[in-house]
Amino acid sequence: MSEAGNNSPPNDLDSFLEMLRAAPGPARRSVDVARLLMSESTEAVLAAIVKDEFERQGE
Amino acid sequence: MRFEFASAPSSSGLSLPVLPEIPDGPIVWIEGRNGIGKSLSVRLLDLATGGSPYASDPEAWKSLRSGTGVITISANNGDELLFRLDPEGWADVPARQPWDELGTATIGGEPATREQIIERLRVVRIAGEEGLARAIGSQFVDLAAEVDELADRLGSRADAADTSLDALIRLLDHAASDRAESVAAKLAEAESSLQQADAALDPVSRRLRLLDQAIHAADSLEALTSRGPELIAQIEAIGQELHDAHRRRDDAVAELTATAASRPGSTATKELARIEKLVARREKAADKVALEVSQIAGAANVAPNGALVAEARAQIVRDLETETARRGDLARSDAVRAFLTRLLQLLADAEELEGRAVVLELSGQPVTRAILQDAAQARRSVLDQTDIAREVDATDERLRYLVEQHEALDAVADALGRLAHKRDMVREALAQLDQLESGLEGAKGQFRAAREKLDTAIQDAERLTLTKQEAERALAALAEGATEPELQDLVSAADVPAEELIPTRDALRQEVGDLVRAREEAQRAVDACRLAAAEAQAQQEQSRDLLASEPEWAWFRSAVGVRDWSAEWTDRVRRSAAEAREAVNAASRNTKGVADALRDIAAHVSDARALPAETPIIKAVIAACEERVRAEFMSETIRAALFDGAVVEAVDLRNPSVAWDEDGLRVIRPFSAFSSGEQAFAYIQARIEQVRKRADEHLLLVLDEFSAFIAGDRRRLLNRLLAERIHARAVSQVVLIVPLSQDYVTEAAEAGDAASPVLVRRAAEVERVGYFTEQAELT
Repeated sequence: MSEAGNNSPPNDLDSFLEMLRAAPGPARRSVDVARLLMSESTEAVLAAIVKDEFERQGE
Repeated sequence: MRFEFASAPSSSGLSLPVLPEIPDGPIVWIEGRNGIGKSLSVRLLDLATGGSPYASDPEAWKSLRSGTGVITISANNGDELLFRLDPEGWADVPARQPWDELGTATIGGEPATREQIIERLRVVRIAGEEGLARAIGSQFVDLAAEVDELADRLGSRADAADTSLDALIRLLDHAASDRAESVAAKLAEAESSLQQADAALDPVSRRLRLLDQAIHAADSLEALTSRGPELIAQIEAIGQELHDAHRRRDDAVAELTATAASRPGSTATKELARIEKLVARREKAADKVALEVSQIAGAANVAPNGALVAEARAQIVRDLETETARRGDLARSDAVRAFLTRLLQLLADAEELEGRAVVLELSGQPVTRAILQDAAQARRSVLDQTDIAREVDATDERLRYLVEQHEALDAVADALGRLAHKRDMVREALAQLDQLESGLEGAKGQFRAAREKLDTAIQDAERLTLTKQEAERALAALAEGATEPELQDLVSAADVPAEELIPTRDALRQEVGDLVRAREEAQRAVDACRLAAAEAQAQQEQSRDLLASEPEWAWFRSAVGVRDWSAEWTDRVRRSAAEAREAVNAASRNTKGVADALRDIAAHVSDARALPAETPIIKAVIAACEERVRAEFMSETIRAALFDGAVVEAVDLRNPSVAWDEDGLRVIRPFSAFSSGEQAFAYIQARIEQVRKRADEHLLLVLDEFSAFIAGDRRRLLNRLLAERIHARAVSQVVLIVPLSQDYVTEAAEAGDAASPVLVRRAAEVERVGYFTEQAELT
């Protein structure tokens, strides 16, 4: 028995990414950046990431 | 929704069978022979609507792309969705096949995108012939296909972000003050090296000059010692010969006079006496000018020769022109520097011009903004580093020398002209003597002989005068060399024994050559550093301006502001940009890594293939997949069927197994142990329950190869579940595909007239197309 194609529930990939984000390691940051890249304009993504890093560098 | 399929043969005549039709209806039962294209049709529909049915089956993909020509699929539910799949040119492996290169898709005759298709129709295919481990593995393959697609879409966005961050980092590098400081430090270092090279070269050069002077003095003294007496003797001998020539000249004149006087009453006698005095006077005048020429030419350091003097004057004129032009350039330096500064400012302000934009033409050749800017920058840099006042003084000094030399040569040329004139006068007087010959009746032969003697004597005197002058000049030149005490002083100052002068000088020449090359190299380094410093300065100003005011960098200003450009602030911003770039690239890289890890885990769970070495990403993906499967197992249906209602504690995908608590005992069981039909059916039910239709889509649920689940009570249970899902609008349409369960054709033939209408219809359809379809009841 197998399930194939675009056959998963609509939020299947999102729910998987959420689980991946909860896992220890570098995945959390990459998932966050990937979601930003897919949802915002390039300029908005760059501003958000650079600002985040800038604040982190200042800590 | 009703679906129709058709396949055309490929160019090599091959084609694969497809179902002609899947009828409309909520639950469609399809029962047919093997090999008529039941599963293929459903997979093609899945592929056309954006699914990845071949992701875990590359061999089936290869068979498909090489085994058929164009396949058309129509799906009709109001607007017609029409797909035309053309396997010609498909990728070797399914993972590399872009959807929009499968063929064409239209909705109501208009071209449609993948997103538009997915909004309208989605296919969920569940196959019932595999065990639990393979079913779980298949989920990961499907998920990998989705992550691949995400990675593809992410890639172009990440590339755009990476390009912007790369440009930002370069601008920040240019804008940072530490770069200018670094260039300045390099310049200081290069200048120090140049000073060291000068310091090393100067004493060696001085010593070499000293040795050259000493060797020259020694050579001069030796020449004076060896050639001096010879020249003096030669001058004395020439003087004697000259005296003899003058005497012969006087004798010839006397002979001429005597010849004329021997003719009594001759009118030529008086005239001859006059011409004799005239020749003698003019000869003396010519001798005087010849001496003057010798002195002036000696002072001008040129041989008393008209051709040589003319050549030397022409060279002086050329040198004067060159130096005059250079003097003019120097006089305009300030104006040129001001012009270059203004030009560079204008180019910097011309923001809309790209570096490759052509701004002017020179001799028909286009000149770009970048080239003009570099050239202007380099020229200004050279001017900035030139000591104009010192160059003007040096040029003026050279001009004064050339003018003096030119005047001296003019004087020599003038004296040579006067000498030529004096000699012409002598020749004129001699010509008058020739005229007297006609008046000397009877003594012509005697007169002519005396006249020839006179000519020879005059020519000898002129030749000997020149030869004597030459010898005297040579002697004077020798005498200008150093004296013996001077030589001793030089040898003492050089601190080298006289016999070691030449080998020491040769060794020093080698050393000076090396030092000169080292100095030239140091000078080039200084020039390059000065240029780099000028460029760094210009780039720093330009970069800061861009970041502070260009609309392109508004996002940057909104993120961090633009402050004082202090080293600390700039460094922090640079590190932030570098980290952001790494985060963007890591997101793209890790997304691909997640898809790969999902496939590796699927192969491990389904086919017991070894996992690759665990990277942080693989570890995270394993953890996420374990949580995903655990959540799935926690559904009520599966817990009841597989774990007797117990709570699933953990899923271990490294050793594909599940752990749960049973009466206080921890039970661990591998996936492969869940093999009973009841357990598998429970899992299938759970999967069906998880399927959820989106608002406006037509969700087609296909249950493929379900023969194992239609025996006994299961068909009734399945029908009930499917009807419930239809009623709940979780799915739009269900298609159940099973192989032929009996030989309908034979049974109908054997029953004859007793065959039921249903059997007759089924047998007729099977005989005609290999399968029959029926609508299942919605109970």
